[in-house]
Amino acid sequence: MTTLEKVPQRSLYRPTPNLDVLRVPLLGRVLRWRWGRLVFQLVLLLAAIWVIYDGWTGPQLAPANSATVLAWVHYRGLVILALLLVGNLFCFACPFTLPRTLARKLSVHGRRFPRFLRNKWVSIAGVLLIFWLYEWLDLWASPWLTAWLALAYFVGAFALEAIFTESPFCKYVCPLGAFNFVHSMASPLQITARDAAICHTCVGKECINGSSTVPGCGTELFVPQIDSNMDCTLCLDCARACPFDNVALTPRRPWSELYQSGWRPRWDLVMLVVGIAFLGLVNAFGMVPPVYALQTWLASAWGISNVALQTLLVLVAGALLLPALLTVTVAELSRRLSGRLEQRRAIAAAYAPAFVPMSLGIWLAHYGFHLAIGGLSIIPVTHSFLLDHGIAWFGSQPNWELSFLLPNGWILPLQVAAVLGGFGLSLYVLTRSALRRNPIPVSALREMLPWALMVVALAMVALSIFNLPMEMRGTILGGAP
Amino acid sequence: MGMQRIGHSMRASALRVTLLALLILASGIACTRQNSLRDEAPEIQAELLVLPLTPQVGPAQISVRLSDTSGALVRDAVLELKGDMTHPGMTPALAEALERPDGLYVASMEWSMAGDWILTLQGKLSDGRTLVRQYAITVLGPEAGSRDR
Repeated sequence: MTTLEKVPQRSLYRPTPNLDVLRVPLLGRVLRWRWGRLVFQLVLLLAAIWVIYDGWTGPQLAPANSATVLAWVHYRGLVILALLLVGNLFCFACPFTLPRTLARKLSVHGRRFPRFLRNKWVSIAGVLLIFWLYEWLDLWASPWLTAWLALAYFVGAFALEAIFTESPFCKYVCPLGAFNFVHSMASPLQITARDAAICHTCVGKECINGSSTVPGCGTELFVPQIDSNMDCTLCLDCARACPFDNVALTPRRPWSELYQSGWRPRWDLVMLVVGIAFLGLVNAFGMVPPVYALQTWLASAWGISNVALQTLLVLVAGALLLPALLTVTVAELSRRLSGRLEQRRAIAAAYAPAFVPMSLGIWLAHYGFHLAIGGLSIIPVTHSFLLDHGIAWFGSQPNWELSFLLPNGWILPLQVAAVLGGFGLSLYVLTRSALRRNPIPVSALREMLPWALMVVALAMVALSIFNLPMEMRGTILGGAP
Repeated sequence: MGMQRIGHSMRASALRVTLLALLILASGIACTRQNSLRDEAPEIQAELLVLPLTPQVGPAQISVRLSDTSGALVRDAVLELKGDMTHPGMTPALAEALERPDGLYVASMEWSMAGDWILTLQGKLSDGRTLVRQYAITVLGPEAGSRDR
């Protein structure tokens, strides 16, 4: 018999601020300083300028150019490590938002981002667009195109800031931000109010409205209501704007948000999380031999030989349609097994966060691989860059053999550990979510079973892909026209 | 208010001047850039023979034949080969091509991974000029056999 059960009301997930990173001597002062973020942004701005400059003027051989090495080896590897170990550090230090002040001065104030676009569908489209361009144009093999991509990010952020009043680029558009938001849900740091009672009596709500000197939260998060790292760029403007010094950046159990926070039942959020996990597989699949067999099959069986169309089909099928179909089917199965009269999207929203650890494991195994085998390659690339400018401080011959950051024999075991670790945590989160919704263990098991099978399938496919030999194709001698 | 406006205007001017100076500086730096891989002997013909003829993951032998415009062999050059994958961050394959008595330069290399490689031939000719050439090579996986590419 099906019964209309009431889902237990979830309280806001707020970690207890026992330790506040913003009060750690020196570090806390730097972070809370009005220009604290700018210092870190300038570091990444210099890196971005280097990427653009070298991409346009340097050698068009991807392993010998800092544009491709920094963007596709270091940025990707370090961003996933930062998310795992600390938090959304790369949004914190994002240089693309630096022209914001200028853009705001030029902006026609008062226009808000269109209501129908205030969701994650644009981000999902943006993520797919970036990965489609990456696979189709072999962006990793082209310093020149990589430089243009970096510039496009600056232009995109600037334009949206100039047109709209809030920060729609970060919250609704940026594909990198969307990736970071999803995985920061498993990060060990979160913004919270030191004392919620102070917020209740606060009149100005400067953390969201801004003060006379510091802007409020660009993504419109209100500190006492923050129960998730989703949409938090860790800019710390809230901490700087708060007149009561009541904002804390506090450690938490990294995965606790995934079963404790109350997600609104939104398909866009569900698809962002599940889709990015599947995208991790599709992206890794693009680097192993079966992808070429698939392309051959598409050409022979369907007559689709255009590479742009082939990659679009594989991406849309693997990272959008398949996860969408599976999520809806699994939500329906979960609903039937549990006997709940609940909307599918509500069940999906309850269990989708459990895909974050699995996704983190897959991306860590992939991007960590590139960082592990190529982390030191920036040394000869920098050496060569200096030589190109007549600077021979470190000799006249770059040591191109410098590459591996970790011994080769460690890499596959670490990849397997990353996938299995993500898998184990996903199962744990599924279990906790199920038990939270169903106090009776048997009911909880029935409801979570379809989701667990989906996670098992993801882990098995991931392990299969990472066990295949890699094969990297790219635009040979390509890049600049 | 007036003083504030003047201060603001001065800061804005200073920002514009700084940006302009940085732009000029960057342009200047860009103009002075010289690619260290610059071919100074475009008339020299470099023919490459890669064995096995269908490159596969594993050891490979690469022979280079240098000839001038008259077709005569170019001897006494010091040649190096560097194989890069198209993806950044991959360890390159490096080898020195040694001159044999018959005038061919021969090197042994190891293709570590299947995929697209860029083989860069770089060397010094006996007259001191630098020779640089690049070749695109697709390496098959060990299990690929005679897979049609």
